[in-house]
Amino acid sequence: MPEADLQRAQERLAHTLERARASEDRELMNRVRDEGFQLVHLLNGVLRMGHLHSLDNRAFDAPVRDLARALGRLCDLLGTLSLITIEDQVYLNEVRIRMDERGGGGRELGAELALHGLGGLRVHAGPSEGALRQLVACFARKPAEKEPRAALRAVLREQGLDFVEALGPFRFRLGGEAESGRARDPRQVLQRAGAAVEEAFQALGHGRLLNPLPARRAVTEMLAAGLEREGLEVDPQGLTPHATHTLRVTRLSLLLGRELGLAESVLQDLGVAAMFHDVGYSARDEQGRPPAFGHHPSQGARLLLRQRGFHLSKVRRLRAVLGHHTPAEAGRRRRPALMARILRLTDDYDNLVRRARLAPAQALGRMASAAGSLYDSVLLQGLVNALGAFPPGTRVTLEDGRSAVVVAPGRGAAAFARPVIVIDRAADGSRLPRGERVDLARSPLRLHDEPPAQPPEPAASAAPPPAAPHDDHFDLVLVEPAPPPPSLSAPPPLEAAPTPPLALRRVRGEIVQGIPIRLMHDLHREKRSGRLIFDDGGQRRALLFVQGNVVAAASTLPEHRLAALLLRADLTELETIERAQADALRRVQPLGAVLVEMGVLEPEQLEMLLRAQARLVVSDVATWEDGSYHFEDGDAPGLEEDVSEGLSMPGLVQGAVRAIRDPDVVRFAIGDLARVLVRCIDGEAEARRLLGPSEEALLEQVDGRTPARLALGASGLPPDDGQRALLALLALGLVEYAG
Amino acid sequence: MTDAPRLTTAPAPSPASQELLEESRVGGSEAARAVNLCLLALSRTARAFTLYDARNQAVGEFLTDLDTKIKRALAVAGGPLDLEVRGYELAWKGDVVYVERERERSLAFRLYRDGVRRLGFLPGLAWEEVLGLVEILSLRYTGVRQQEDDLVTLLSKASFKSISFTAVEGLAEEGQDEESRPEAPAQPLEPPADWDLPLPGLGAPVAVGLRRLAPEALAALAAEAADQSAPSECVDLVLDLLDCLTDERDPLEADDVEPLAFEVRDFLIQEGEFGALRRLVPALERCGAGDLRPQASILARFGGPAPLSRIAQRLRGSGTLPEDLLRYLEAVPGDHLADALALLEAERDATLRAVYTELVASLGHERPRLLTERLASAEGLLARDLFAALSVAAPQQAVEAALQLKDQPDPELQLAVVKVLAGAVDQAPVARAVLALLGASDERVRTAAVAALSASRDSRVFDALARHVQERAHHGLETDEAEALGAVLAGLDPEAAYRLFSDWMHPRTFLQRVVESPSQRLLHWTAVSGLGRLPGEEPEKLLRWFLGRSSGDLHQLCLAALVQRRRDQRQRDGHA
Repeated sequence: MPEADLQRAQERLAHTLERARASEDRELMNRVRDEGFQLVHLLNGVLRMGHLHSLDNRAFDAPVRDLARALGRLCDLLGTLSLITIEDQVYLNEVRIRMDERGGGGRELGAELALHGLGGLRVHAGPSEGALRQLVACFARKPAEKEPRAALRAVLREQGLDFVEALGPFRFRLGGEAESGRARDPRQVLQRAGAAVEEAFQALGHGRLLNPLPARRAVTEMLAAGLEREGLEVDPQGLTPHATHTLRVTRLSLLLGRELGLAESVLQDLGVAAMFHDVGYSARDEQGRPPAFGHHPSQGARLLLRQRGFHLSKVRRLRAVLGHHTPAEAGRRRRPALMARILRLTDDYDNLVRRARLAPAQALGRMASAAGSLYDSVLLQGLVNALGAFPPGTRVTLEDGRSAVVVAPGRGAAAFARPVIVIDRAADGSRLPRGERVDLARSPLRLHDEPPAQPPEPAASAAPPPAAPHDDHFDLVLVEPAPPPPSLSAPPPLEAAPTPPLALRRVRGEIVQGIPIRLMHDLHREKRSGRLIFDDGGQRRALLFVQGNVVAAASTLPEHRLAALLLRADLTELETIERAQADALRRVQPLGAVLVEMGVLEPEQLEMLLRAQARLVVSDVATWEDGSYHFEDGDAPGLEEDVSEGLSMPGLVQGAVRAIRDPDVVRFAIGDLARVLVRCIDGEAEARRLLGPSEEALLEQVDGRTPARLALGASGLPPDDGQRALLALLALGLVEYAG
Repeated sequence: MTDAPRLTTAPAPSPASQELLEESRVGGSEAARAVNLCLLALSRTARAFTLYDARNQAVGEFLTDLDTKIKRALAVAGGPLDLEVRGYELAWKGDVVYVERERERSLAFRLYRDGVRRLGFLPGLAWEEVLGLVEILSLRYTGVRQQEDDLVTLLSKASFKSISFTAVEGLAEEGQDEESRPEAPAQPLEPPADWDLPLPGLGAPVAVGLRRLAPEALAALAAEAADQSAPSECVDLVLDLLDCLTDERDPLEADDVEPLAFEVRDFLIQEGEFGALRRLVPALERCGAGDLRPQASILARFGGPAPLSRIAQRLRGSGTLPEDLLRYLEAVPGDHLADALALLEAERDATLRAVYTELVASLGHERPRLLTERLASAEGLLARDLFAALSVAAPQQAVEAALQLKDQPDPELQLAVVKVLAGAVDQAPVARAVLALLGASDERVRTAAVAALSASRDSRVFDALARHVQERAHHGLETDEAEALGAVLAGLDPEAAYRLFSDWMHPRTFLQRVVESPSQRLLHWTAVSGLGRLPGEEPEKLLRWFLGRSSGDLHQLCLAALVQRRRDQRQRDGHA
C-alpha cells in the first residue's frame, strides 16, 4: 500500500477515534460499570442470604441498605434499570457488566433468577429498604412448581412492589428467525417505534436520562423497511394521539429527507430528532402543568440537554427541537437548522391535515402561501414532490367509478400523479370486502380526473411563487383551478342534441344557460361530495356538497358574504364582525363559529344565515350564461368553513328557477319542446312537496307520450309561466325528455 | 453439521501482535484459511486502538496486513464472502473460519451481541469501505459511543456498497407470560390538549405542482448536514441556547446550558476550530452579564488547565500556534499563562512540552516577570523550556536570566544561554559570562561560546581568550575548538593575534625546539588556524616558515590555510 495512502488511513482513524473519545461521557460509562458491578454483587448477596436467614435478621441491615442506595443512585442516573442475565453475562441498560474480570456474580445471579423462571429485573424507581426486604422475601419463597414466573409476579403485585418488574429469560436472537414475522412486519416496526416515542416521552418527563439508542434502532428499521413512504395513511394501534402524531412527523421527515437525497447518517439523525421533537410537552412546572405551546421547544431542549457526552447527533437533535417552530427565514436571526426547517414543515403539515382536517393537497397549497417566510421554499417544494399530486390519505376516484385511498406516493417525477392506492369502495360507494392495492405507475387504471403526464417544470427559483393575497372576506377556500386538459371537451349545449344526464365524471366545462341548475340537480341525485366551482373570469362562486346536499356556499361578491348578511339582518355591528374575523383568521376557525362562540349569534341564527347565503349564491349562479365550472371530489370542509346542516336541494333549485327573471333564459334552458316528456320514477318526494300550482298543472299533462309543447298547451298556463314550470320540473328531476 | 474447526500451529507472531493476543487460526481448506487470516487481521486491527495510538507504526503494519489479507480472501473466495455470525464464531459456507471465546477479544461476539447475524463482503470491495468497517469495529472495541450508536446503527449509517449485513434485535425475551405484566408505576404524562395550537396563520392556497429541485439547492442542503459543518452547527446551537437565556420568560436556565457549552468547547478545541470558538465569546459575555448564579459565569470558566491541555493535545507536533488560538485566548478570561506554566511543569512528553513552551512564549510577553520568577527556581527540562520561552517572549529579560543561569550544569541550557548572550556580548558582564562558559564541560557549549565572543569589540576579551587557549591547551582542548579559537582571536584583534600566534610558534626553550608537546601542538594549531585568516604578507610568511617545520596533521593544516588564503585573495582580487 502506498505510504501516502497508509498515512491518510491512519489519520482518518485517529481523527475518528479522537473525536469519539472526546465525545464520550467516560465518567458516566465508568460509573455505570462500577455501580452496576456493585449492584449485581449486592443483589446476588441478599438473594442468597434470603435462603439462609429470616428477613428480620440484623445481618440483612447493611446489605439491604447498601443495595437500596445502589439502586437509588442508578435510578437517578439512568432512570428505569434493565438488569438482564444471559448465559453468564449481566447487562445493565445495554452495558455489559464485566463480572468475569472481577470474579463471580454473573452466573450466580442468573441462577438465582432462573429459580423463579426469570432472566432479569426491570427497576423503575429506587425502593425503600422495607420494600427491598419484601422483595427478598418473595424470592426466598419456594418457587411454584407450575408457572413460577407468573406466581412470583402475582406475589409482587400482592405485596405492592410496583417498583420492580420480573422479566422472563433472555436469549440472543438467532439469525434469520422471525418471531411471528416480528423482525420484518411493518406493523411491528411501527409499533416498536411508537413504543420508543412513548417510552422517551415518559422517561424524560419523569426526569430520567435520554437513551437515544432505541429510537435510533427504530429509525434504522423504518428506513430499512421503507416505512417513510409506505402506509403513511395508517397509524399503529394503541398509541396516544400525540405519539401517533410524532410517528407520522418522523415518517414524513424521513420521506422528505430521502427526497432531498440526504445521506443515511443524516436521515438517521433526522428521524431520531423527529421522534423527540415534542418531548418538551412532557415537562411539568412546579404546579404540575405542562408547558405552553411557545415554550415547549425550549423545554424539549432542556430535557435533551440532560444527556451528557458530546455527539454531533445530539447537537443536531437539540437544534432541531429548539427551532422546529421558528420561521424558516427569520430575518437577521440565525437561520434554523436544516432539520428544524424540515420538522417545521412536516409538523405543520400533519397538524393541518389531521387536526384542522384539511385535505392533504389543500394543506400543501396553504403552506405554499408561506413559502419563503414560515417555510423553506426548497424544502416545501421537496415535500410537494415527495407527497405527490395525491398525498397519502387522499381519497380518489377511478375512471370506472371505484374509490380508493392513497397509501403511498408514487416514486419519482413520472409517478407524481400516479400514487399507490388501495381500492376499497365499489362504484356504488359500497365498501369492498378486501382492499386491492394498486401501484398506478405500473397499472393501466386511471383516475377519473387525471391530467396527462407532464414533465416537471424547471428547477424552482430562489424566489417563492407569489402568494395569492389572503382574502379575509372569503368564507370558503378556493383553489386555483388547473387548466382543463386538452382531452376533455365541454358538454354539448342543451339545445343542440338530446340531453343525457350530465356525465359528472367529466367535471369541468363551459357554462351555458341552465347548466348550473342541472349540475346541482345531478350532484344531488348522485349524492356526490365535493366542491362545485363556477368562474366567469372575474367572479367566482362555490358550493360545497356533502352526500349530495349543499352545506356551504362561497362567493367573491361582497353582498353574498356572511358579514354582509349579518349587517343586512342587523344582527351585529361592523366592529364586532371585524374583531371576529381577526380572531377567526388567527385561529383558523370559521367566522360563524367564532361569532357563536362570542355569543353574538345563536346557532339557529347562523344556520338561517348560511341557508340564506346558499340560496343567494345558487340563485345568482343559476342565471349565469357563460364562464366555466369544475367539480372537485372530496368531502372535508375547509378550515374556515361554516357548514350548514344541509340545505334542501329541491328548495334551492326551486328558488333558483324562480330567481330567473329573463324569459329568454328560461326558454333557452328548456330546449327543444318537440321532445316527449316522461315522468322520473325516482323523483324525490320532497321535490313533489315543493311544487306550486303551475308545476302541478303541467305535471298532470306528462304521460310519457305527449311532446312538451302539447303538454304546455294542455296545461292552460300562460306561456312564460308554463315554461318556467317546465324548467322547474326538469331541474327538480321530476320529469325528463324521453330518449 | 459442520466439521470441527481445524486448529493449526501459528507461526511466531510479530512483536506488535504479540501484545495483541491472537485468536486461533482455523480453516479446513486453503480458501477457509485465507478467510480466517483475513478475519484475524480485521480483528487485530480493530483491537489495536485499545493499545496504540492510531498513528503508531504498529497500526500502520496492521492496516497493510489487513489490506493484503482481505484482497487474498476475496480472491480465493471467488465471489461474495458471506459470513454467518454465531455467538463466538464466524462461519463461511458452513465452515468455521473464526473462533474466539474470550469476549473482550472476540470479533464474533461483538457482532453477535449487537444483533449482527450475517456479514458479507462483495468482490470489488474498496479500501475506503474496509477502513470504514475498521472505524466502526474500533469504536466498539474501545467502548466509545455506546449511548448513541451500536454496531447495527453504525453499519446502517455507513451505507456501504460492498459490505452487507443482516441484523436482528439483539436480545429476545422468551416465552409468553401466563398473566399480563404489572403496569409501569409512574403516572403516564400527556401533552396538553391544545398541543401545537394555534396553527400558523396561512394565506389562501397557492397552486403547487411538481418542480425539479435545482442541483445547487440540493447541494447546499447536503452541505448544511455534512460533517464539515459540524463546528458551525455546534456554535449555532450554543448561540441559540444563549439567546434563550437572555429571554427571561424562556424556561432554559444557565445550569441547563452549561454542560453543553463546555462539551462544545472541548469538541471545537479537539477539531482545532479556534475561530469558531471565538464566535462564542461575545454571546457568552452577554450571557454572563445576566448570570446571577453564585458560581462564576460560563465564560469565566471557559479557560483553565483542562481545556489548555486539550489544546496542547490538538497542536501536538504541529509546529507554530495558530493565530486564531491566540486571539481566542486573549478573549477568554483566565490566567492562561499561569495555567500553561503549571502544565509545562508537570508534563513529561516532549512534544507536549514543546506546545506548552510555545504557549508560554506567546502569552508571556506581557508578564515576563512571571517567567523569570519561575525560572529562578527551575532546573533541568523546565529551566530549558522556560528559558526558551522567555527568549521569545522577552529577549531583554532573557539576557538577564541567562547571566543567572550560566552556571547551571545542563549543557542544553548552557547552549541556549550562550545563544541568547551572543546577542549582547558587547556588554562587559555578558562577555564575562560567555568567557566563563568557555570552561563548560560540553564541547558544544565551549564552541558556541567561542563563536559568541567573535562579535565582541572589547580588547579584554582577546586577552581572556588567549589565556583560555593557553590554559585549555593543557586540559583537553580539542582541535576543532582550537581552530575556532584561532579564528576568533584573529577576528577580534588581528595585530595582537599575529603577535600572539608568532609567539606561540616560536619555541622559547631548547626542549620546545626539539620536542613539540601536546599542549604546544594545540597552540600551534590555534595559531595556524588564526594566521590563515589574517590579511597581509607577514602572516603568510610566518605560515610558510612554520610549514617547513611542521609535520603530520599540522603540516596539512598549514597547507590548507595557505591554500585558503590564495582562494580568498583571488576572490578579493576578483571582486576588486
